[in-house]
Amino acid sequence: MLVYTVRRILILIPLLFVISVITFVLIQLPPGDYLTLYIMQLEAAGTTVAEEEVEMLKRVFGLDKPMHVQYFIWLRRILIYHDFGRSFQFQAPVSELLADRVPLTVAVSLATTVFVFVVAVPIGILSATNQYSLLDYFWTFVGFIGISVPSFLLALVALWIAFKQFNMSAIGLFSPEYMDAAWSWGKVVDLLKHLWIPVVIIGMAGTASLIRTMRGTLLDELRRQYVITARSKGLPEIRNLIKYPVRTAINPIISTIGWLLPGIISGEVLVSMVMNIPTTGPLLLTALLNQDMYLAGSIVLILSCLTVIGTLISDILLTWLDPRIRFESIAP
Amino acid sequence: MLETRLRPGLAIAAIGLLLAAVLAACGPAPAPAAEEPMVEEPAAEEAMPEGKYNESPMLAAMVAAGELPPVDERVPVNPRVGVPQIPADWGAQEVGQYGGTLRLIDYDQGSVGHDAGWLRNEFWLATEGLAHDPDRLHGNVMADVDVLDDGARFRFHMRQGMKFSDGSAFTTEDVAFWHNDLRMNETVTPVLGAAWRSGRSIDGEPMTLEVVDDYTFEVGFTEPYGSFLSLLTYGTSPFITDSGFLKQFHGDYTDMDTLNPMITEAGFEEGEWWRLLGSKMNQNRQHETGLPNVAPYLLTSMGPTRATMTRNPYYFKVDEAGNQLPYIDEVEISIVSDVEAATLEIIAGNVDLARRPVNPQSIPLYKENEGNGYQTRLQAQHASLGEVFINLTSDADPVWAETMQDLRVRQALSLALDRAHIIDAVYLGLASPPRVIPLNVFDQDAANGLLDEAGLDQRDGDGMRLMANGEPFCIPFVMATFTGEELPVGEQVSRMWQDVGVCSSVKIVETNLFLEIAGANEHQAMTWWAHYPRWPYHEYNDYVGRAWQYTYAPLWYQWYNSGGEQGTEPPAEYVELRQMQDEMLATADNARGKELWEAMKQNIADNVWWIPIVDDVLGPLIVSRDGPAARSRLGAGAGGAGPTPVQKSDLPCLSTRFAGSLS
Repeated sequence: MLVYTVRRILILIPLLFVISVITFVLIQLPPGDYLTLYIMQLEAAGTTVAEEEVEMLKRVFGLDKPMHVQYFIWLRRILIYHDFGRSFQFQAPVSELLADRVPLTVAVSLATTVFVFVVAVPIGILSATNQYSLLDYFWTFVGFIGISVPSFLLALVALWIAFKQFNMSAIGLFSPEYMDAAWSWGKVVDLLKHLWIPVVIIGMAGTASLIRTMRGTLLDELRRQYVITARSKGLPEIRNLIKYPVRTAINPIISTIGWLLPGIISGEVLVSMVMNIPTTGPLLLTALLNQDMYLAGSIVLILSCLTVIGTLISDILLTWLDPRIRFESIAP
Repeated sequence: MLETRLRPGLAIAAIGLLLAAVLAACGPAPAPAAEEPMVEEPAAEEAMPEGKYNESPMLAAMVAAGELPPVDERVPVNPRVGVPQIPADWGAQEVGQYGGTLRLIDYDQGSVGHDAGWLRNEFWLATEGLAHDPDRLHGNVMADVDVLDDGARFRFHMRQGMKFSDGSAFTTEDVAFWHNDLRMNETVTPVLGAAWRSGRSIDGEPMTLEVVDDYTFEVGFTEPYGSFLSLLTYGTSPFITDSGFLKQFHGDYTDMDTLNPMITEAGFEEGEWWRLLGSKMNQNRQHETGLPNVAPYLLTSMGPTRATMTRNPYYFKVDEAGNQLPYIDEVEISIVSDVEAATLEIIAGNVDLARRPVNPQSIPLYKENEGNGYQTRLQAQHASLGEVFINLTSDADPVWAETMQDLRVRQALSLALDRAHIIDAVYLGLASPPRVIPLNVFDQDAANGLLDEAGLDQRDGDGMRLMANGEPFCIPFVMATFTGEELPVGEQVSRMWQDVGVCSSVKIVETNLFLEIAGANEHQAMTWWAHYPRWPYHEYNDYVGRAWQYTYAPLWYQWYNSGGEQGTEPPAEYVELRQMQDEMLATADNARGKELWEAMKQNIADNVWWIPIVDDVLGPLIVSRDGPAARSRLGAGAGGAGPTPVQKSDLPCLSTRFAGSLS
């Protein structure tokens, strides 16, 4: 087991290196660089950019160096100083930009995940146990809407309703008075007041599909012999339900937890844009569009690492849980 | 959504707008001037008697607490008097009251349209031109300038006792630092641009700078450079650098042992002090670096959703009553993710002034919700957002390029366009037909006649015209969108050309892909913006074909710029246009300049180098009814919500350029 884990971790090192190279190259592949787009933007905004400014910026941004040199400087600084470089667009260290956004992103993602599980699992169970009832049809209907309507559209509708009915703009995560304030109890309450709207909207699709999955797998389980046997032996219905079929039915859901790690950090792009929530999603999008290579590269690198680590964790968990896998992979 | 996010121009609106900040020396006489009779320019900026200046209670409290020197010591001996930092059509132009917070909004600080965005968009907050006025050139940061040697030398008079925002004196030492240690230092500025060279040519001798005394300096060129002053009023702010602050990060003044820790700390490689210096000069990080400047507001914080600014206690302007400007103490900028999010905040009444994150398509929505405390006005835009550029030297198809070089074909393509329809369909009627380059006749019969005459009289089964080689004559628009107007204009134009038998299509590609196609000179047609209101000095590249925009004839452009070494030889008319332009930028003779400009416009109209679609584009401007803006010069006191009359003079104001003593 230990050997297996160590071996898996050692394999990660070259893998991460390759990922970092691919990330860096991919981001640089499109023609032009950040400066090309930057100049275009400035001129579009009505500012004339003189030749000397371009050359000066090139030197200030370090874009006058060859690509491989830029790469090794970037990598060296990450390894030695844990410094991911500076963002061109924001003229600020990448780590600072992420520090601003990652906590809120995690808050939104975790809240959404909890919301999805708390809502979907019981409803899924209810739908399955009361198949073809009014309740089941109602949630099926809601589920289809949740799956088929894009979440950004729901966000727009929610914003419009908030404006029309309550004459407020529901964008952002804080009221203006708390925006710059230090963390306090009041700020947390204020955050919670705003947080539920994006959480419900982002969670809608997930909830809907989870309800369908839960309902489907549970229906399969409920018809199995062991359930009937247990029931015939007089096991109380609720205990019979929760203790056996639900535990089995929830398995496919639990196995996706491994993917949560990168998901929690990456944030939802579209809804975040619409609702003006400063998560990392829109940050990555603008970084990619602008060829802001250190920012985009660092975010992609971090997400890749999290994916790899998430997979590692789930593999190790599986090996630990399931003897069949354990014997297959660990046996030399 | 991206399309709307990227709208560039809303920002800058009319000429006049920039009043303060940037624009000026030349340029269209804007309507606002006519609307503000109450602002009487004092005959001369005489020093006010000592002890006469008033200040904001906020600053008075700081003076009382001993944190600031008294206002009379902060303001220059000869401050700029009575010139508000904002244009008249943004609000009432009367003496205002101190205090309050101005709420602005912009979208994503790092969005595609902008370099850490809003600060550049709201430059009137944070930059000051050296000289300003849309109509006449007169002093701003500089008190005065004398034009010597027929426009080859310029003597600048600075304001005595003027200070940077950190309280340090602004003298010729700072100007000399800008010149000697930034512009002329090859480490910092590897290539000195044409703007700072004699003849406005990349081969010209670099400008020279001579310090006369603490408050007087001279800039010289080897030959007359008539448009030099206009350069100083727009865009960059040369000369204004606090040498005391920047020397700390300059390799020639501070030794590397001191610099290296700072350099590594900032994330650069040892020895790269110019990168450290560059990062310290970035206006967007002023809240961290403390970079001093002379602008009305200083950045105090910048987060992902909000930025704040506070007044510059050393600001050099006062009003007619001797009140130090600005009136409003604080500025608060919400940064939202896109223009739609901004719209929501605007209609909820949470914004005092919105100039850029607005959308003409949303005008009905703005009007509908005006009950929430704001007014919707119209303001002139600084650019026309969708003009048609055809690549006359495209490498995609030699026969096609040759066809395009036939003047009759270009004339026909212009005649085939019903501009009135485009103005209604795309610009909601908020634009006028082209006036600067008066190509606005719509005549399909004439268009068909010219095309037949040009040898495009054969047609295929679909009724589309065939070129000499028997291939259909097609004009494919392939372009990136930037302002949102490109696509609808392109679609309309393409449809109208099909009506005269020219097949045409529109394809939008991602910006990087567009750059690749254009870099290979394989693009054939595009719609792009042109800055009519800013001609002829500020955006002169529009009418000669700018290289990076790859507009109408990149190979001719190259040929002329390289003295015939690169590119392909252009027709005589194009060379003539470029020569006239060179002369216009250099000449110090007003009458000659005017004559040249008229001739250039005639040349462009005669040769249809590209196809103008509209002029005088208007866009919405949102101004709150109450709040601090209403009590001050940002107020919405004057005027109704009707369209602001816009005049866009297409004449260079050469006559006023050498006003000798400037206000």
